[in-house]
Amino acid sequence: MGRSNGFEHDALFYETDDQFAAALVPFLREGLRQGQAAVVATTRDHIALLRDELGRDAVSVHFIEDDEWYVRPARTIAGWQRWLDEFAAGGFAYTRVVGEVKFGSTDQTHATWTRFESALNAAFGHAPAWIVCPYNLRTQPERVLKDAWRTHPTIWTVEREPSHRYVDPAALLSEIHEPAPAVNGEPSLELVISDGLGDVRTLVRAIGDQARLPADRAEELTLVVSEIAANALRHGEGPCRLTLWVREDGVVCEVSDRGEGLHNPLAGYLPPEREASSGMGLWIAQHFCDSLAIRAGDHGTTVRFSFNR
Amino acid sequence: MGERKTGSIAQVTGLGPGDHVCWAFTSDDEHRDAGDVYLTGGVFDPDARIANYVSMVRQTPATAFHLHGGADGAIRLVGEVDFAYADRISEILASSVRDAGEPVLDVWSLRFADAAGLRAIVATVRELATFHEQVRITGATSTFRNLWRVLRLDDQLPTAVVD
Repeated sequence: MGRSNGFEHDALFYETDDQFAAALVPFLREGLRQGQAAVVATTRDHIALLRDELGRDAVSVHFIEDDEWYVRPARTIAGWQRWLDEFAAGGFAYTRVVGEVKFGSTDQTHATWTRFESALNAAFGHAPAWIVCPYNLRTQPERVLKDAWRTHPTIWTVEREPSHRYVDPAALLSEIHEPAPAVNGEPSLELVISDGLGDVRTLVRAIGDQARLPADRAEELTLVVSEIAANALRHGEGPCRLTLWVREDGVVCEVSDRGEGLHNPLAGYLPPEREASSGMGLWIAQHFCDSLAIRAGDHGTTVRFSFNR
Repeated sequence: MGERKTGSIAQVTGLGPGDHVCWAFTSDDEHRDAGDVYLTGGVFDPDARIANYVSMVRQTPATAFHLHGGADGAIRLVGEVDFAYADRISEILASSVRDAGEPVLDVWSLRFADAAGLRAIVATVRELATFHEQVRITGATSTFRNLWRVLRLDDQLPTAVVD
């Protein structure tokens, strides 16, 4: 295993619980011995397994259940950032992280979390942390396992080795797209915005009501529409178009502009460096919505996102 | 916390001498009329006599925003603030700091604030923090609190308490 001072991001392939524990218990213990911090996000069963195997050392490791941790990629990135900052403030020079990503069961969620795995390399490129992501060879689909080779600089099977298929995050995020939330039927609202978002917000609140979103979700929808439309007005050329659909399970919203297009595929994945600077619109949107897809072309950018009830 | 003030300039009542008022207007006429009303004693409200300070922001009605300092010393933000007027509002907030009796920003009546709006508020918090150990932001909605967190302002401004 050895020592590391810089950022490491490994995919650990395992088939059985024994293999899982045999790799991760020494990994965590070695860190603790060196005075490093340790945090683990995984399934309930794997938390129980690691606690058992770690024995007395388990009290020095922070455990998080995957259900609460892997909800939206931006929230997970912000969450890891908080842990790392907290540990740094507590005097830890280095942190060991185990993150067993909850990939979900659809092509859409697979794409979402594969993009997350790739974006981690950009978000934490210089962090003093070693993140190991366990992948179950028996339960994960072929596609997810193949992509793990492309999203982790290091692969860990029996031994650690550099992944010869690793792809730069910007390239991977340009290649694997987030599937856009589906809509059918006529939109409930379609309008062209040239300036001033106050009236737009009033309409969006009404749509939120109509879709029976809880009051705080409707207000978050209003915030996200406002942020994305503000982006479009600032960076696009001329007015932008806003379209909203009320679905059975909530609201889908689309904002399109005719600007040059958004050219940073990592936008929305990188935490704010210092205070609330501009360009935070997508970061905010990624936190509050339930799904979000961007189509950027030469003739403009379209952002489509959903808010579920 | 004192009484909340919100609504258009014609409806906000109960201001008193020494209050600091800022409101949005859509035409110069309205600006003049409303200003006259307040500066000359107020026909809408007999108590509305603004002694020392009036600020106004020209905006569309739907993004109307105003601010005032109440007798309890808190700075009260009312209406909506987004990227379009955040810079202007930031200036007004900064100028209001000197009148604030207490390091308290009351956002109960702030209907909406986007990231740029929060940035304006952050500038004010920093300003207040030069005179006070702790700055309170009271009456925040869950969306305000969540956005504050998403932008990492809780870490960057440990002197500010949002409740």
